[in-house]
Amino acid sequence: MEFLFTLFQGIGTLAYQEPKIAIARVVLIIIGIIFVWLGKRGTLEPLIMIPMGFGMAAVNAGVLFFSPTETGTLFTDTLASDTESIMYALQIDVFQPIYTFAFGNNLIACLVFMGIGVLADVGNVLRFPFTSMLIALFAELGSVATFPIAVAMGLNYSEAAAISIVGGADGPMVLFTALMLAPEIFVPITVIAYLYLSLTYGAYPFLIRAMVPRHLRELTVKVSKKSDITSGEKIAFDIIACTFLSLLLPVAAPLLLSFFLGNAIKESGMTKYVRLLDDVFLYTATFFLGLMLGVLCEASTLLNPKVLILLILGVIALGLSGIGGIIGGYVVYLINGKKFNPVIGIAGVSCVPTTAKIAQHEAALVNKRAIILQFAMGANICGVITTAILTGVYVSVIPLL
Amino acid sequence: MNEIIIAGEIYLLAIIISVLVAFLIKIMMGIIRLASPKKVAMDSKNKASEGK
Repeated sequence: MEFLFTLFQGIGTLAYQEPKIAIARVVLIIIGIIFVWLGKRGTLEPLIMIPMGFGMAAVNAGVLFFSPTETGTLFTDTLASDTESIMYALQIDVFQPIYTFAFGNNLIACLVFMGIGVLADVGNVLRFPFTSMLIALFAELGSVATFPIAVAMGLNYSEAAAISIVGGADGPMVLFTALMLAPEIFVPITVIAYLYLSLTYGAYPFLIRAMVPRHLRELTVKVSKKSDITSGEKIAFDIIACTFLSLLLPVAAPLLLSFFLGNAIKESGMTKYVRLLDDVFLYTATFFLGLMLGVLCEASTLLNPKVLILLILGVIALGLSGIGGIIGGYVVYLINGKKFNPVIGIAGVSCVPTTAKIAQHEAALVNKRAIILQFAMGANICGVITTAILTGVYVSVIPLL
Repeated sequence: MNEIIIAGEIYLLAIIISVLVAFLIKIMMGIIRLASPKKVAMDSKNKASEGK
């Protein structure tokens, strides 16, 4: 038996480790396989969940003996902090270069943001800046209201701020905030965030149907006859907003630069750069983000008593943001003399472009002629901007408290 | 209670910055529209020259 355990160390370490770690490893392997299956079915976002599921299953299966008393994997060492141990990990662990040079310093989040910038159209933000910003601010309810709830549940201010940003429904922002404020629990926070973000497509329609009656969901919004926004105007907005927000919130400047640069590249019509950011950067970063999140899901990392609290708070944050967004939709509906579809409010939750698509889909279900996508996209992009603002405020203010 | 006040202050800061951004957009669009040649005038001029 001893020989077999030494030969097949993945199984041998299961027998050697503490029972709770061994059980957690088996559970995580099963969850990893389920993620791949749900990703394939389309229930969860396949771009993230399939690589993440593989990483999760492999990292918990591939545990080996480093010495008779020490176990570990050949994937990554997140605990390496001093130069010597990082250099050692870089030579031994296969994904350590990605973790050290792209994950831990937020490069991967910036690359994703460049890709989102390319996908985004700021035209509707420029047409309706106050309406879009108002909805987006309401949709940040979860990012703010979760903070005192998290502190009441026993988290410190930094951890509470990091989990609260899940309410912004913006994966790269969650990754950024967690790494800046609560690096010790960034793995569970980011995994929970991406898991829940994958579920918004299924959950938010029920929230809309619960909060907005059918006769309001079918409202069409008159498209104003305001002249078209030119690409020059959009680029002017990109550079001015990027500079202004970076002046106010230097900690969020790399993310702001990535988003607005991506958008400016799209608007300037540099097709080769657009293809580079969209096809290469965005998908490469998303692939490695999913894979790294899976690889970081080691049983010992996730066996943290705070994980259950984070799971509850993640639902609260996203739920409150959805509710806040729809309340924002109602406020604009009242301000505009009941000529606005409150469903657009859900698009203030900045999961680009998912929530905007949900809003359009829900309106079209009851009235095929209800075209609200352009208003929803305006709120959606403003959601990205308000989440970046809140992230910057949290990261700047919380360390001072 | 303290946490609620902190959350309120953070929200207030975010609101102020967001409103500033919205104002910035309005001002910027106003300046751009003022500085650029009138589109309607340009269109009619182009149409007039097309007929010649």
